[in-house]
Amino acid sequence: MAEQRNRIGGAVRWDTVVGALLVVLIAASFSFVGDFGNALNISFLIGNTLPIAAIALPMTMLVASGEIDLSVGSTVGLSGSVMGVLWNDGMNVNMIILICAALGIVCGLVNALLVTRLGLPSLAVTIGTMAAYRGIAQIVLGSNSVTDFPQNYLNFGSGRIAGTFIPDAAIPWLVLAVLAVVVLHATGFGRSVFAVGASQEAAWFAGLRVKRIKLSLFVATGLISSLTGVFWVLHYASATYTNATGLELSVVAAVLLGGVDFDGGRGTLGGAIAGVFLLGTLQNVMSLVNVSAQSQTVVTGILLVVSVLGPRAAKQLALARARRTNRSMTPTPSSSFL
Amino acid sequence: VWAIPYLGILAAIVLIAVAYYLRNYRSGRECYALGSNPQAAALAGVPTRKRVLGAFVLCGALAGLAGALYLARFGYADASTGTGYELTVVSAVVVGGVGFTGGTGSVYGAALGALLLTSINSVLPAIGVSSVWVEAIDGILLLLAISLDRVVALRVAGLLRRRAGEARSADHG
Repeated sequence: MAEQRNRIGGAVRWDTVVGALLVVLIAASFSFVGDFGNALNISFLIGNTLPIAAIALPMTMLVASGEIDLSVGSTVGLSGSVMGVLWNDGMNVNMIILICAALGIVCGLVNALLVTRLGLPSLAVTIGTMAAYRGIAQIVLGSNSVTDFPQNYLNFGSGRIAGTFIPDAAIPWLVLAVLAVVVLHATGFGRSVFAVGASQEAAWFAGLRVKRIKLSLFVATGLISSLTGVFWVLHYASATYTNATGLELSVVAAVLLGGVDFDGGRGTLGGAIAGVFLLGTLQNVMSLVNVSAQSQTVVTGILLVVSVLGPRAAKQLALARARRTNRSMTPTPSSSFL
Repeated sequence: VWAIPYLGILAAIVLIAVAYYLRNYRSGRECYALGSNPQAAALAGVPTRKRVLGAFVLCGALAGLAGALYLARFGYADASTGTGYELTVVSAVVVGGVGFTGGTGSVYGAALGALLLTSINSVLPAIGVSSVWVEAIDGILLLLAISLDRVVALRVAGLLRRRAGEARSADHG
């Protein structure tokens, strides 16, 4: 009996709550907001949320391992700027995309080496690289904006699969998402990411290569960010150095809203993805019903605070309940901790 | 003498008051203790929550004062005034030698950091460096500052350990 109740208590987790909220929000929008349901709006919603959704994948792993990367928005901007400059110089687009990917790996590597070799806090390092990468983007491109990319690439960035509401770019994202879920939740590497996040020292004593794991996560984040930069340029058909300013906050907000513990060691990709689309849908609906941009910012900010408080409160509640059940029911040790 | 603006005097007064408080008052010192090791501080009887609460409240109050000063200086303010200041302020504080992990640093250091960053921002264009370089240089300066701080700390720790080791072997010898 006690075990059963514990299991029920454990089943209501924060990421499930966020997923349920997302479903409720979408259902409510379909029924009450007239313009929400048409295919064009849905494709806009997905297309505009894709950059956040893409970076949220490696960011979830990074936060789960106890680190954070605030330079992702600047990496997106830098990759876009480099793309613009190289295209102006007449380089082949496929070649440019490869160079941008390499650039993203280098950006991630710089963050990773500063964090793992010098032992600096990633918050401080990536605040620094956030300014540095954005600054380099500004040096590279100046205040120009490049817009004349080839049409078939622009079509990939903003088009959708014929006859549906699904943007073309959603397919590569889905592949990435499945890959990320499998890596984080079904492989030894994924387990070790959580282990590092829960206790770095314990993970090290257990024989995990803590630094190497963190390094690979930072590099993955840099790579995905730079590819997102390419997508951003194609999606909005414009490369400027201010591309994706402030994107890091949206990503971190969505990941935390999805129940990934800021201290590391806990969280699910499903929750993070639900968080991303919850924020995206909310913003879309608020725009449709003419909520002013300022009020939207307030709502997003409140959601962020709730996202930090919510999982804590849920954990406290679950702990309190487990304690109560233990005391009242049986002297057997409780196995539920989630 | 009249080149000193009132706002500068006001800022200097705030600066000296906070610096004096952090250096000389019990509750000020407790903030450092808290930053070095929260658990040890709590065990030593520092009212942890009260100090952190106080620090946030003071931070908010001074940010409010800064808003008023900004308005007095530029005669104009809107909802987006000060966007991105958090980055500049954190950079200034870290460049000024306040440890990111807590427990070290001084108000004067932070003030010097702020002065350095703003000087760089106004000097670079004056010596002919294009303004597009400013943000990158700010970021790289911040990275250099925290890296240097860390390297020095590691060196000092290594030196102390070696000294301790020598002292121990001298005892035995």
